Amino acid sequence: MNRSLRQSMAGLHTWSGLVIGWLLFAITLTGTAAVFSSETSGWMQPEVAGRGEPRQAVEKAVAWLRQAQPKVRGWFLAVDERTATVHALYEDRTAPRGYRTASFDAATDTPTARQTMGGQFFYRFHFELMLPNPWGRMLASAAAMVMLIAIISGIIIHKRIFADFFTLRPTGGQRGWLDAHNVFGVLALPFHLMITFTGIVPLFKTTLPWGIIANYGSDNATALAEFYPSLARRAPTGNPGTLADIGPMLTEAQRYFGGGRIGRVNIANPGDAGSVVTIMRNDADQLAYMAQAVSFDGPTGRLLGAHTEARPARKTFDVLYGLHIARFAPEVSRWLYFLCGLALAGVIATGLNLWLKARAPNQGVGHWLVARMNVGTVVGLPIAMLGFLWANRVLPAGYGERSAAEVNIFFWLWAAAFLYALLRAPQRAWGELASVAALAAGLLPFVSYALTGRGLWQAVTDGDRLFLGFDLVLFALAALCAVIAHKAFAADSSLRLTRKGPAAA
Amino acid sequence: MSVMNAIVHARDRRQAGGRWQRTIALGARIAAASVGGYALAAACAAFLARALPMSRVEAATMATLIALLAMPAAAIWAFATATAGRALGGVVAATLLLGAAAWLLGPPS
Amino acid sequence: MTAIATLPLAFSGLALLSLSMDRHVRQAAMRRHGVRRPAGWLLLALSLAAALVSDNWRFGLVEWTGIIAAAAALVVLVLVYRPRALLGAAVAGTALGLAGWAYACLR
Repeated sequence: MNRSLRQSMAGLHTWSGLVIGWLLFAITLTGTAAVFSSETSGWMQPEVAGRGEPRQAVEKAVAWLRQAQPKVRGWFLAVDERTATVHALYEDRTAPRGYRTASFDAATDTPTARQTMGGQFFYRFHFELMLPNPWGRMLASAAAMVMLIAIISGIIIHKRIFADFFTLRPTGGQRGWLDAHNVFGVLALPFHLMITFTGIVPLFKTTLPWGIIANYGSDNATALAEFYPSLARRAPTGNPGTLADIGPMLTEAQRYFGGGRIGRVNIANPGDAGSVVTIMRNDADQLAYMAQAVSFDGPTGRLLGAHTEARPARKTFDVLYGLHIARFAPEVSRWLYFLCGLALAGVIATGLNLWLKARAPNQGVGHWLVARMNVGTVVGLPIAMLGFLWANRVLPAGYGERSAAEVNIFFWLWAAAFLYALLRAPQRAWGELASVAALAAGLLPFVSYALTGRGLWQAVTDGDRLFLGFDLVLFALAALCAVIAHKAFAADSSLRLTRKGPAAA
Repeated sequence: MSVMNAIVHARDRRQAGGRWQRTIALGARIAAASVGGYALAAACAAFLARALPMSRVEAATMATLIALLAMPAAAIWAFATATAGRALGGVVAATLLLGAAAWLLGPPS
Repeated sequence: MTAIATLPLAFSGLALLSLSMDRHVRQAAMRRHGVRRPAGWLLLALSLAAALVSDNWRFGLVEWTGIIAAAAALVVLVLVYRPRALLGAAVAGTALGLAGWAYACLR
């Protein structure tokens, strides 16, 4: 490969990586946390114990919605197999985001669990950055596209990709950081390429709709109907009607799914004579997203239609989508997604650090800013995410708009950490903020126990894998942050004692 | 550390012209990769959606997936190709060609 | 479940492949041996086979790509901290992987 290509790709890689690095780190880390969004939601609603069968939870949810929310335009039930919980979403104009959720397990008659976005917050932040639609999605997609370009240019410049495959020389100098950047990048390279591309694909209706527009013009209704034939649409009649019993519809749907699991139940216009119940198969049953669906006439329970996606291009799209959100993944695969996601976050963090290491320090505004933004993002974001979890425990369960408050606390904490990083010398800030993160993670299981009564010992004796796993991950995170803090303090030359006293800063 | 050298000295890549010309050349490549790349992907999606021998929805889906691969390819090419003029010209030409072809094909019947 | 077969076999395969490279042979203070490269590839192929014959070959294939990354990371760690133990670890991994495969088949 000629030197000029390497130089141009190197420039492209460095600068594209720097410009979107901080945003991408945030997208990657929250996305990695979203792998376990079910468990996070379960942890954040300790009142819902996840007892019984998901199917019964669906029936309980519908029963409650019948008498509590009969007039809204739609009920959207999502079945979480992993926590045996159903999260029901319904329109509520008094709510900050226009809708509310209520969580049910098989024993819940009235939802009493604390209001929270749960693991869905990390998921939502990940793909739309909590910015208004469509701007958040466009920004996240654009960042992902730049990441794809950065990865490809990185592959081109990495000459000895196979010879260096296992090479890690942790010298602490530039070479060590480059080795780490390469190891994180190359070992999970298929994952990085896959997750980036499959992340861009699902949002194409917002970001690259021109294929659809070329074929359908402005006829969105037809395009949607042909794209998702399973989402049967029927205008409400305007006459009141009673929804039939949901049980037989669930049975019929599972028969169509060949014994597969229920994933979603959408009920359109439940109080109307023209209501429609659409039941979708659980995404955990196959790679493809939304692979099968059955629709029923609401008042009678009569079958309206059933759809299994078999069209090759559509199915390819569904599989790519499914690979990204990884709901198909059994236990081991989920942990691998999680670890590879952390590796990708590691690629970005080491890359941002490399930008600094490759240049002499104290050279202008650029270097000053990058050094501080690195700390503010790489340690600031985990502090904010932990703060989100802390807020869930500290805010009283019955407190009104606690769901929005938890999100606000996330952003306030991140802003605070960022401000601290801007004002403090980076070498010090790394150690200090990493220590804060370590404490926040390490103390959380104990605070959680004190405030909810569900603790680590009880999790062991009850066999409560969710709480056990969550607490162990928090401890591991605390250990990781402690190691980072230790290394940062050790490397900070201003803290070293000389014969005369602490070295001048 | 030849990789690090390549990265640090990327800006020293020998090019004709002074600082102003180099800035414009860089700007042209960035425009070609970003705006141009997106326009190319859009034209590619529109063209393939109409040209592929599949049903409307299938063609549109496949076209989009391919167009999403065309964008990073165009961006890489815009920086790899010999001159900035070629980068801009190439992306613009390809976009116009695909766009014209899509327009000529007309919407599917 | 198949991870008890795929992970040790992938680890051993990648370990042997790394030990067929000059740089890492020197790290482990060993001599080169021509059998390591083909043996490494064979173990990787066995690892893939174990993934594909599992209940769902599609899920197995996706999982295997992640297993390779995890196994490679383990090899890197061993090379950094205990390079001389790598060959022994590779042998142990092979035994563990084959035993794991047998166990998974019997269930």
